[in-house]
This record gives sequence, structure tokens and C-alpha cells, in this order.
Amino acid sequence: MDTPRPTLLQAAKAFVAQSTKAAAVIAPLALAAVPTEVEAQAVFGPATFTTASVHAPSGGGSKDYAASSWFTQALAPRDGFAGQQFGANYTFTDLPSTGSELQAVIEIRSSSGSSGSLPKFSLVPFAYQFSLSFSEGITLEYLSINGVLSGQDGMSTEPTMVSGTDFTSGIISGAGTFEIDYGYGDVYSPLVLLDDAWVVQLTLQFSAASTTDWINVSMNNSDGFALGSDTLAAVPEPSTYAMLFALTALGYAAYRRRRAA
Amino acid sequence: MPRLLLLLPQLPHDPASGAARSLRTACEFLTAAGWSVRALATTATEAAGGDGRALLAQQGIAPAERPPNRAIYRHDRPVLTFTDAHGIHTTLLDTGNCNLSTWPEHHGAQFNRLYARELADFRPDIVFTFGGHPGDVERYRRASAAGAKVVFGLRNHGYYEASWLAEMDAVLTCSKFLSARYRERLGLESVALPPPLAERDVIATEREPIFFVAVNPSDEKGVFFLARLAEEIALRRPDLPLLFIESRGAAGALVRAGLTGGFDLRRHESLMFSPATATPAEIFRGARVLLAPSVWEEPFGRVAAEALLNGVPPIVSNRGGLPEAVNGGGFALPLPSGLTLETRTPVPAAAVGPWLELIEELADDTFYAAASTRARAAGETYLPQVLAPRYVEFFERVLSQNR
Repeated sequence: MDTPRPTLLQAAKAFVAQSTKAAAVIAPLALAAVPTEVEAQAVFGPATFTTASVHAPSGGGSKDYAASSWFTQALAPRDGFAGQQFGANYTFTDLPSTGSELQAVIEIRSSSGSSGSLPKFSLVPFAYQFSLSFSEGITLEYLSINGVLSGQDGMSTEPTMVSGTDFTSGIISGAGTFEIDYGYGDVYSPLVLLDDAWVVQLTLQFSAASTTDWINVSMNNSDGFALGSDTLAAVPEPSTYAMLFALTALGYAAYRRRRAA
Repeated sequence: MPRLLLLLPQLPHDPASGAARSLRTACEFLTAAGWSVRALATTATEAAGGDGRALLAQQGIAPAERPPNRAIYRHDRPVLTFTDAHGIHTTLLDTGNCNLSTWPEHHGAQFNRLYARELADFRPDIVFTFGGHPGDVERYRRASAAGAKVVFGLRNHGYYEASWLAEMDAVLTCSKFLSARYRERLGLESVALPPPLAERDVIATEREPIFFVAVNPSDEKGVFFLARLAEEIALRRPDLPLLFIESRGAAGALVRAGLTGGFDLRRHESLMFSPATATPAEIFRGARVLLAPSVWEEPFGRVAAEALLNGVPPIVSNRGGLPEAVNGGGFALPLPSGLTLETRTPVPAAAVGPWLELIEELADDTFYAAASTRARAAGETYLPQVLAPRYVEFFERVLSQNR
């Protein structure tokens, strides 16, 4: 029966009232649950460890390196993201080989604290800034920054955030966004972040004249990588971290003493 | 009697997958035309956490279960079998907690053993399929090696890098729009046939033309356009009820979209919402007009075709396959060119003007009656009795063509 009622809104109210089934499911928009800012946020947990290595091409050997210092800091929530800023300082020396196409890879990853979801094709802001210094025998060839965001049900997105060959200033910096896209054209579910959701990897390709040549990657105050934000914040100086670490260590020692007693 | 094997990486009965449902309905057309059809698939579903066994039970299907053979295969899974009312014998590998992207790694070997048996015992003339996982592609090549022709059901934009599609004996798309896109992007030739619609699920037995309905208020379906449109309608014509049907996009997302533009849609009495319905027919029971301002390029626009079958005139965006889907029985209007999937604020009020004017016209009973009649006539092209012969002819042509 295609006959409308006197006014359509009155008819709508009657439709809802007269149909038991419809009355149970049709509701005023005023009752819709609106996601709060906190629920809408994608939270990126803190960095929990970092590794680095230099690889010679074609299986010509590799060498692992330890960071001289590293940091992680939660950023103020903004635009639906509770971001994380992190960085590490490395000096690559005593190289495993000489020649071209050597690769220094710095990996920083998180093992907990991430949560929230990101719709397919949504954009995640990021930023980066660090300085490079190196000995005379080093020629930088190529740089890339890649990431992995892991979600539930095996979904993941692996953005290339930066790739290029411009090293003229010695300071590498920039900002942008990457897209959440996990393949499977039919699937439009959001990427529900795992607790250990993210990995960021900086790769530097270079040539070295001697194994005693060196490269220093430095991320100090206002430097590093930011996930979930396109701006970097000032971070405490390493000395501040040292003080915080000392205080934590003292507190833990006191706790152990109390337990032992 | 020609033999066809429907080979899918997921549950053919998954209501969340229009592609799976389309291929299954096409198989039903073939069995009605005398073909012998079997299906090999899994219980994996597109919805996160979806339960394939529960979906079968909801549809009244009680399969026989063959227990896993863990004496030989440590990770063996149960296998479900049943023959449906159309005579299609279906074998499903129960992939348990694995989803679409993870089952091939854990249970791909067992699925391939089942597949090898189907190829050897059933000896299909045609394998009808979709899926772009490397394991899927390998299975298509095995079908060709076994002498079967492979027909790929292409239903989305996810295969623009899939050069292996050129190896298929035929590619069947759901719209001329999608065929044209693949010709441009991949140089791929294909045949376009509208997806079959199941009347029993789509057509409302009783209908009252009351609500202006929009389904799935999400980014890709134009939530930032809908928010402005709802605000302007509610201000100008508070006597016109709008109903938003939730799906992947929730009503809360619509409200939030409005709030980013500085207005609160919750203050309007004429705006209502409903959770997702079990069948499209329930959407159209109280629908007067369908609003589909999709921002992304819909490969076809199934909901517009479903509206036509119900005599509900659709107003759709002029993007993707939507204008083709309305088949002259609805209205295709432009969206602002700057409105993209990245847009995060409602469009300006002026941008919804043409939509608003048409909605006001469709509130008039005389104008509406004519539009509804046109919609119903245009929808006839999607009736099974019209579509089935086209599908049967397509598969007969594939069968007769030389490699």
C-alpha cells in the first residue's frame, strides 16, 4: 500500500508505535551513543626496546650495535590520536665490511600499551627529525623509514613513511600521514590495534672506505619519531632521564629492602 | 550435464559478503538450468569474530560433520558437508578461530587436499571463484592444469595489481563501471552482469512509504554529506522523517560528524536510527526514498538496486557504479568535488541544495507515485527470472569457447 499518511512525521511515529518490532528498534537520534574522544582515540603505546645493526650486501656479514641512549614519551591527545614520540642515539663504527650498499638499520618497537581502532583508509599523522654526522670515508646513498601497525585478525598495514636520497643538510626532518590499508578489498572493518601494535624502522644505505669509518645518528631534544602526531615535542634531556632512572632505581631498592624485612 | 565447482575462500552463506552471496545465487540459476554444481569453501567470514557455524544454523542449515584426522594430520580441522534446497552439494573446511587472512597459513594444506579431491572426483568443467591470496592463485592454476576453465567473479577494486587475472578464462564483473575501471588500470577484458538479488530477502511484503532512509552512515557512504543534509532537512522540513540504518557505520558517527560542523543532530525530532537489519527487506518496509551519497566509487551499489525492486526511488551520488545501478529508475546527483574519504567536516549547506529540493519534491504524493512506478519498472532488470537466463548464457558461452 503506497498511500502516505497526512504528514510523514506523524506517519513515522505511528509506524514506530504500531509495529512492535519496529518500536523495538527504531529510536530517536537523540538516543544514539556518540563515541567520546577517548573512545575515538587510537593510542600508541610507549617504545619498549630498540635494536640496530649494519649489514653488508649479499650476506657479507653483519654487526649489532647498542644505543648510547633512547627515550619514549606520550604526546598530548589530539585529533583522535594519543601519540607517542620516541628516538634513539646510535654510533655505527668498527663496520663489518667496506664498499657500497651497506645498510644500517635502527628498529624501535613497542610491546604494550597500544589500543583503539583505525578505519580503513584513515590517515595516521607522523613526524621525524634527527641529525646525521659521519666520517670522511662515508657516502650516504639512500634512506627510508618504514613502519608496521598490527591489528587483530591478522590485519596489518606497513607504510613507507619516508624514502629518499637528500642528505645535504645533515638534518633529516619532515611530517606527513600514512594510510591504513590492509588489502582485502571487500573488508571494511577498522584496524583494531594490538597491544604491541607498532614497529618503526630507519634504514640508511651507505658506502664506507674503511671499517674504521663511522656514522652517528642523533635524536636529541625535540628530535625522534612521532606516531599519531605530525609535530614533535621537546623531550627531557638525557640527563633528566638519567635522574629519573636513578630515582626509580632508588625506589625499587627501598621496596626490595621493605619486602626482605 | 555441465559441471561447475564454486570455490571460495570464505563462507558462501555469509550475509556480510555481497560478493559471496552473488556467486552463490548465480550457482542457483545454473542448477535450475540443469547444471551440476558443487561448492568448496570455508567457514571464515568477513565480519571480525564472525562465526560461520552460527551463520549456517541461523539459516536453518544443519551440516554433517567429518571429524579431524589428527592421527595423520596434527592440525586437521573438521569438514562440514550438506546439500541445499537447490541441490548444491557444499563442502566447508571449518577454519575455527582463523579468519580470512590467517586460515591459508594454518589450514591451507588441508583445504588443498579437499580441492584436489573435488578436481579428481567431480571433474568440473568450470571453477567459479574469487580471492587474491597466493594460495588462491595457485589453486586457479591447478584447475587449469586439470582441464577446467576458471571464471573469476570480480566484485571490488582490490585487484588492480593482479596481473594473474589475465590467466582466467573469463572474468565476470558486477557493473560496466567496474569493467571499464579494470580495462583502464589493468588492460583486463571482462563481462559485466548485474549481481543477482534474492527476492525473498530483498522485497518487503508490506510497505509504507514514510521514511527517507540512508544506510550505513560511514565515511565511504558519505557521513559528512549526510550530516549536513539531515541538518538542513530537519531545519527546513521538520515534517519529513529521516531514518539512518546502522551497519559498519553507527548513528553515533553521524551525530559526531554533525558536531564537528558545529551542530547537534540530536535536537531534531524527525531524525531517527535503527540497528542493522537481518535482511534488506526490513530496511524497505517503511522506506519512502533511499539516500545513497556514497563518496567512494561503489563497484555497483547493491542497495540502490534493492530499493528499485521495492518501488523505492533512490537518490544516489553520481560516483562509481551507483548511477548504473539505478538504471534510470532513480536520481543521480553530484557531490561536491572536494568531498573525499579524507574529509572530516560536514559539507557546506549550499552543497546539499539539489538533494534537498528533490527530497521536497518526493514528499509530494503525486510526484512520488510516478517516481515509485518508474523505480519498480527499472528494478525488473534485477528480477531472477530476467537475470537467470543472462547468467546461464554467459556460462554456456565460457563452456563453448576455445582456450
